[in-house]
Amino acid sequence: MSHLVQRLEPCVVMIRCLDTGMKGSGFLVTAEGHIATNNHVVSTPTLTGGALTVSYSSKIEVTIKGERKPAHLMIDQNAFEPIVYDYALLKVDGVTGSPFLEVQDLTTVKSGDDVLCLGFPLDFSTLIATKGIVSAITRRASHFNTLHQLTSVVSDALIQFGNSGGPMVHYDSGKAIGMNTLSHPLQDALWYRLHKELTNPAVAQVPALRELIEYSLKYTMVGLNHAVSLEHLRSDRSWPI
Amino acid sequence: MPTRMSGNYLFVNPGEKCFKVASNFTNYFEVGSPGATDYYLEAAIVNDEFIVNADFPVPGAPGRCKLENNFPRASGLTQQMTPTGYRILDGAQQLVLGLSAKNNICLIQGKIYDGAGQVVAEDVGDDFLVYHGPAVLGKVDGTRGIVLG
Repeated sequence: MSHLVQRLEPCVVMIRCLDTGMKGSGFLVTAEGHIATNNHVVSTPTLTGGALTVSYSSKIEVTIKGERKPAHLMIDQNAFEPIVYDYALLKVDGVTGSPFLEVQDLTTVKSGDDVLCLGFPLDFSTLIATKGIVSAITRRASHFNTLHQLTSVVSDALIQFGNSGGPMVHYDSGKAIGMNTLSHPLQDALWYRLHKELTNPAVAQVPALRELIEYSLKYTMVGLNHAVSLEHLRSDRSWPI
Repeated sequence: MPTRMSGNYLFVNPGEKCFKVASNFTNYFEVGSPGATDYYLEAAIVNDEFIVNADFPVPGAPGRCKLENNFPRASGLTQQMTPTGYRILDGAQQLVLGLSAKNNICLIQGKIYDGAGQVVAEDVGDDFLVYHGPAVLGKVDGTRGIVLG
């Protein structure tokens, strides 16, 4: 798979929101610098009086092939769709002729197909590639609004915090089939359980145990992940192709 | 006198995906009819997803209350997203239409008006009141449950 990772590396970007501190991943979808990512990478949700709103970062920086560049949002920031389906489209000005990832129609994808997940999880600033299979293609309630269903590609390819917005790539075609979005609740449960252990006074008294837990929090990768379908983003009027 | 509906189970079994309109559980809900009335709301389960479309006037509001595939398009009214659905409020911040999906049940709340500004249908506690038809509660293929007007 190394040839595929090498070919895709220039298409995957690290995203940082300098005003909120959020970090995530994204990928180029045109040669002119359009980048797909998750909405939750570039926004901060707030629940006030039962109403869910998001505020978008105004200082988004992407790292393309090691070079940091400012990016701006292309989506309608008042629309509900990008929140519900957890997508955002960014644009880096001045980019021409860039390699980019094509999007594969999900109807051609089957359970058992090999996939790669690419992104910049945790504190890595180098591209991290993980491998798995398509475990299922499902419909599930949106994690931001349970009234809506979204299409999700479930895979056992490992992802962690920071992978959000990065591509899930079909091995045979080399095209993107989804956007890595969230991990299985089991993974979250483990993470929160470990995190809670850090507040345990007994753990605090055993430095080696505390270090082990902190290491696990940082690097443990288990469970299935969900990549949201790119069809949701492609139906947005902002989609450039 | 309005028609009062409460406690009906129409084409649904406990645990199945359904709409809750006041104390009624159903797989389909329709008030008014596009083209035939100047107001309508249709709630259906399509491909295992709640799909609600609506378009009706709101007295005193500059725009109409509109939903397209659940998404509010109600300019001039307050549109709020919640973690389980949407709320559309009038100028007095009173609920015009609310959708909330939880555990396979989508709750529909609010008042539906006609072009003359009269309330056509509303939920009041456990009762769903229909002041005049057409309205349909429950539908499977060509078979309809409770039909008014």
